[in-house]
Amino acid sequence: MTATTTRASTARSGRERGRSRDSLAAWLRRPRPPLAPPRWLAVLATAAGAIALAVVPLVNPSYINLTLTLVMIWTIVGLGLNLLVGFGGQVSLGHSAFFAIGAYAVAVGGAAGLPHPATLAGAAVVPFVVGYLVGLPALRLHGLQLGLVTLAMAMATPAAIRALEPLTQGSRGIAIDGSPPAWVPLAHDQWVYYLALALATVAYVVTRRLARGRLGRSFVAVRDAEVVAETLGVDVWHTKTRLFAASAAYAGVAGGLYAMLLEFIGPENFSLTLSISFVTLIVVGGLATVPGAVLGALFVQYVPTLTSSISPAATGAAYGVVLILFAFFVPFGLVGLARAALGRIVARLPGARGT
Amino acid sequence: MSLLTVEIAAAGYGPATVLHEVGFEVATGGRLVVLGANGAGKTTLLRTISGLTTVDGSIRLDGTELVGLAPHRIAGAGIAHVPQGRGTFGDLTVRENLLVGGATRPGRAAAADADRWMERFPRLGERAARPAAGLSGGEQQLLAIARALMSTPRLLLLDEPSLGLAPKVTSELFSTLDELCGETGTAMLLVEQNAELALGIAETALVIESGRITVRGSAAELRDNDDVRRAYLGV
Repeated sequence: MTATTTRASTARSGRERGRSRDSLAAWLRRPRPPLAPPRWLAVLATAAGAIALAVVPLVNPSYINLTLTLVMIWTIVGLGLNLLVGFGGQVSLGHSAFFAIGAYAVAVGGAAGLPHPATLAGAAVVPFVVGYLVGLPALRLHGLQLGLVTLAMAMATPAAIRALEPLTQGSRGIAIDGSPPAWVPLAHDQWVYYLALALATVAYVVTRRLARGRLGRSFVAVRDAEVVAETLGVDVWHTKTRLFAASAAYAGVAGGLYAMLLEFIGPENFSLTLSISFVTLIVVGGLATVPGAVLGALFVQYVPTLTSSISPAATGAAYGVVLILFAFFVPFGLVGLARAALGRIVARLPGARGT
Repeated sequence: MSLLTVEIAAAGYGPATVLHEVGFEVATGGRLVVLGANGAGKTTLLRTISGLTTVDGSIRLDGTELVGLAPHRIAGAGIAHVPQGRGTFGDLTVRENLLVGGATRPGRAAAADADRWMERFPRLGERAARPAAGLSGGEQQLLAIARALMSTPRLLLLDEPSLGLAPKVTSELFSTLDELCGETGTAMLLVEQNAELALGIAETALVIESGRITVRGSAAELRDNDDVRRAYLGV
């Protein structure tokens, strides 16, 4: 409530005072509409991106394919988590738990002899059901309480994996055969890359439709003024539980792909740090924006690689500093910065759609 | 035939009882104004009808019992609530705010209605794609009312629509309200501090003091009642 009012008054005072006298901080915090590139540019960029993404794994060494696949995996998590946190206003620090459930659904399903792309369906369904069940009591909680409950989930995940040893093989870890079926003439890294690309594309399109549709409006309405939304006929209870479950399913699918990519997972893959990097991802990318998940995923994949070349401890510090900076100065994340930097250029392109 | 029948023995928030022995009716298409000082229980009364408090008693809309229903079901039954402070969804656009008001209706009908409201109120239409947080207070109140009417309710609950608005804006708002409810035949239960304007568009009126009804009658009778004049009309 307060956040909304502050943002609103910032917007208004910004307009009244005129652009020139805005401080840098106010300029950064000003809410902006999404970029609306002219149709030819949107089509061109989408086509170029699609071709590049389709060709890249065929010409690259497998290490680059691996990191790009990870970016797509983080993107899927980010899309789902941003629906919950950004649009829905429900804080979850526990998405590493759903990520782990998805990963183990693929691992355990594969060990039981199920074919691998099919196990990914389980990686969506199991976290969805678990997310729904966890959501039932957890969503009666607000803000800090929900944060704490989900934090406890994240902290308990490695221990739970160890405790469920008959199923998960505990600390020894579990192997997954992520190689493509015989009829697919691709190497392992290329196969998982295309699977991840397909699923990330579906997730992106679905999320965009969801965010702009009835459900997305309900999410934001419940976030901004729950009681008002309720008296207008929005079923808050169902909105929240479905949101939590759907968000868990995104994380689960991503976890499943992660298992197929690494081909070997253990409890140490699903520590609290993973959850923290998910939260960093959506904050840096831009809360309540859909493209933010992609930019945030690039950040959490490549920035730690850069910082760890300085010092192994630098990654944690970089996350901390970046989270603080973004929370204070860049509430709309990298997407917000892109809108600020490119908004006027895009609006001047020939064929621009006026807003 | 009465649209809303309220027979409350007690209502409030958990152990804190705010309303005692409150009973009244709103006729189909009727207009009732509730007057009272701050803290008398006016907002609680509206919240009780919307299912947001704990109630001992019965509240019926056209014979359907509302007590025990979830708030969104009460909205679905035909009651729309314009909350105190307007409850604008600041991050949603004006159009999206209206569409949330149509949550109980099929998407296409709601979209058509949203367009109709924005045509009706050009000040909203001009800002259709802008975040609603940028609207002025009067515009936000207009938006809140249009948003409530998006559900095509039979009864509109309004909680101090004049709050924080300039006198001129308030009187414009009341004539718009008068017009809208006349056109659509929507009944109105209005809680208001601005007794002068409220009595002007209402048919019947109540005064609530400390959670109990102390005076009731037609709007004209209340306007002539000396106690009411002293306490709420400032004459």
